Amino acid sequence: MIGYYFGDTGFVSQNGDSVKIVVPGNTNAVITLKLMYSGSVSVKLGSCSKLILSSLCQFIDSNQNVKYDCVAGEGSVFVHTANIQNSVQSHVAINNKLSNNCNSTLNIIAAHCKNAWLDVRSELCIKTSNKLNLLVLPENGSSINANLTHAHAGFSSLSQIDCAGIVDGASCKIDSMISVKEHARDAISSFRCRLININNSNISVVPALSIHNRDSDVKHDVSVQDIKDDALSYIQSRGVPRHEAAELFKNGVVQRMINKMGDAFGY
Amino acid sequence: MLDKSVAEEISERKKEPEWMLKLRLNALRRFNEMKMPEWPVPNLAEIRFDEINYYTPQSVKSSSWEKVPEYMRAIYEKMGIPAAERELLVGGSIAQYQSESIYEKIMKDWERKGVIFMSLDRALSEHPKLVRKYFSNAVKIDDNKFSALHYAVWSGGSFLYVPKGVKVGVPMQIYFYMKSKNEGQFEHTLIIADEGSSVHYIEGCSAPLYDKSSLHSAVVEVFAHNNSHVRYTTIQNWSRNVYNMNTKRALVHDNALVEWVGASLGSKVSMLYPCSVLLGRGAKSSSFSITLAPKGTVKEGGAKMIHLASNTKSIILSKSISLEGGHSVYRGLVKIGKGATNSSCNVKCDSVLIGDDAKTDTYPYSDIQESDHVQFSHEAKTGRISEHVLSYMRSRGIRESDAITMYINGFIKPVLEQIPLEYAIELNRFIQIELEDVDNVEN
Amino acid sequence: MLKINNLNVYIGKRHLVKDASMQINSGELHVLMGKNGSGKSTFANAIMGLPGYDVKGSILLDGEDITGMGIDARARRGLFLSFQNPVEIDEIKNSLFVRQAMKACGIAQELSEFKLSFINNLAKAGLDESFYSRSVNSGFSGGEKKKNELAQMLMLNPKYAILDEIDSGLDINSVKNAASIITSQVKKGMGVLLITHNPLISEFLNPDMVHIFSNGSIAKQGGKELIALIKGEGYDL
Repeated sequence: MIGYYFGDTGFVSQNGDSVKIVVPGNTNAVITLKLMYSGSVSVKLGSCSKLILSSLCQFIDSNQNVKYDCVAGEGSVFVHTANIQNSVQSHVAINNKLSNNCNSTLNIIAAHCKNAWLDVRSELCIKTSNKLNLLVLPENGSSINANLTHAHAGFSSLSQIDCAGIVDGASCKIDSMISVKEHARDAISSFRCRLININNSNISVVPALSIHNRDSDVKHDVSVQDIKDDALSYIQSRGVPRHEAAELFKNGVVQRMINKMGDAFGY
Repeated sequence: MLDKSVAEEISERKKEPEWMLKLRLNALRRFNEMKMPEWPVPNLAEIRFDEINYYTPQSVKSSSWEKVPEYMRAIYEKMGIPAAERELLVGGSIAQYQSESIYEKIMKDWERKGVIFMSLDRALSEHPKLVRKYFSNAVKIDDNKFSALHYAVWSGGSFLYVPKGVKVGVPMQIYFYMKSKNEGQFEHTLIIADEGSSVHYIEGCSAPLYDKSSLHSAVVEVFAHNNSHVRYTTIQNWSRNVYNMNTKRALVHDNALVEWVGASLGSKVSMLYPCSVLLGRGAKSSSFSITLAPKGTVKEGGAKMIHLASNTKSIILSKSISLEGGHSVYRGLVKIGKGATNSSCNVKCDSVLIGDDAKTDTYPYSDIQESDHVQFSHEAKTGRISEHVLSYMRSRGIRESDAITMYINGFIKPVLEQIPLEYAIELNRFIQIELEDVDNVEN
Repeated sequence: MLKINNLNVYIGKRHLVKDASMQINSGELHVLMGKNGSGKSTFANAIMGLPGYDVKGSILLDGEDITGMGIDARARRGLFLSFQNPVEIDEIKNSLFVRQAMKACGIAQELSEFKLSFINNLAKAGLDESFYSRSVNSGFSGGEKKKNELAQMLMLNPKYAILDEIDSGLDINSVKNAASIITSQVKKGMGVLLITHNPLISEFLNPDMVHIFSNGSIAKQGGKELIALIKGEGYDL
């Protein structure tokens, strides 16, 4: 089923579907997608348009692949929240091509999934601003593999990546590459990743940078640690039993990220 | 030409035991089998292995400075070796000229305490059991293609053994000089710090400028036994046509500490990732480095910290400066294995870009497999010196070039503080000269 | 005399300062007031020669045309700017920075003499000894940064000082203190242009002239009575 969407609407995919979303220039749209099977989603935003897209990926079977190809026209605003839940062996690929003066925010939550692969690629042009907020909650032997690529190809582009997660007896691999091309001067980029490691999880984070223009301002910081004893003790000292204290702490991590994302699904 | 005969000739000339010849031939075989790595940024295909001069024996071997030929003495005078000795600033010196050492001296006091410091060639014949026990145990022959080449044609280098409980209060130093074009220098350094001992080892390198490239592929193995402390400082200032690919590894036992301090200033291409394997409980290691990438160079640097036991701690601090047309690369690996509870690793890698066409890449790998009281952090800052910072300094009357110099001095200070004062001053001067060469970056 | 003639400042196509002229003689205190966004800081930054602006018009310092000169050249000729948002420099110690700046401006001092002098001036500005060895503005509160600017001004002793919102972030006692420092420097012959959007500091000062900036141009010029007018009726004159 292929359709064009304009205005408030929702759509539920069938097997092997391709969904096409076209938002004309100078238009605002709010669209909700519920994806239960593999398929592809193509999004095209006209110049100066605005799209708030919410995707709920709740695949029924295992081994489902979804590929998003998004092209945002000049001056457009694109907010995409992708919620990946309860899936087994899922692959989600998101490809964002952002034109000049675009403002894009991509929020991704991956929870209760057994083995998820995430591939996010963003290409930024002149004065483009791109934010990526990623929350991962793999647990009990599952794994999440995220590959994040941000290429600054135009001047005065901005990318802000914020990853947080609780890895509980699971495995988490985050590979990020931020590249600033030679002609992309005045690029600003920050990458932040905070992961809590519980129950002997396996964590690998590679925040790679390739900066080929000297007028850049790039920062990154990564921290991987378990829940600190003194934080737990402090909470316990107020009467909360230890395991509840741990839950409180974990909730705090999740809540901070959800607030950042704007609570798109009331999770 | 690089074939069996080169390795055989070296072994024969040095009158080496059978096991060493076998090791060389094995290494050569592995070198020919192994593929050139594809991941490095610099173009390694430019290295012509068949054109390198692998071994240039020296007929001068002396423990008396006066007996060393004048022209050789002049080179090392410039580097300050004899002066340092005269003023008892060092515990021992070795000067290596091309493939072999031409001067070695250890101060009597330390010799009496049982410290052994001599060229590795000599140690192989005078302390064969000790050398055989440790040689190639930290860095395996086929760790990488360049270490394989090294083991096939190694010559020169030093052997340092510090007995139990001996704390050597002054540094041991070694200086390398590559004389001719197409020369290869493959020294092997073996440092053994027995239980409770401590020592500081400094190496400095230099070579004049030639057209053809030279290759420096050294291997450093440090064995830090329980409760020992080894600090290894390298000040590298090879000329702009040297390929500098070294493999340095330390095996750190219970409660021992190994510190890597490095300043990589010269060479055309450098690939240096000192590695510490924290084998024992409470083992600690740090790596502090400054990398300067002037025009036309690709300088890779970084560190590898592998935590295999509990209560281990490591720090990596890397400061790189890419000048106009230079490319610096940080490549690091932090691995915290299962069972390494209560361990921490903190990495800070900052990179500043000065001048047009300056580039920098960062590839920090981390692999954490233990959660119990493990803390890992990595932070990095990359980019030009902020416009606001420069304007602020200039608004107080400071000229732009002086402002850049002041900033760079502050930028490298945390690493510079780890380097002995005399070397730090020289280093600072050198960096200053390099910065002066940069054209005015603004207006 | 610091003479600014028909200064026009542009950022790209935006015309932020329009035909602004003023004359600050040695020993005079001028106050420049205006709404947020009226162009006051842009005016100050352009006079100092900060990058990012296209400037038309001329700036003469004691007869010399400094309009085309670099920032540091202007500073060495006796011009000082106290920034609205002083930048933090982790890498450089406050003491080293100020000593280098003084050297660049031709003021040579023995280390011991310098240390005494700087600690003394820090105290005058309201900062304790610890600020001597801290990194420049690193981790300083807004008010502490302003006090650090004042201390630097006292050390460099410029001919003309432009103080951009030196009073913001300061409590009333610190504002009084800043005002008294300014008054005493003016008496000693410094020409000062004080930029502020808060009439409070002017209570403690006796300006020779008050300029009101509005929408990039100097809308009104007069004496201290202008300040009272602003206090009463706001900036819409």
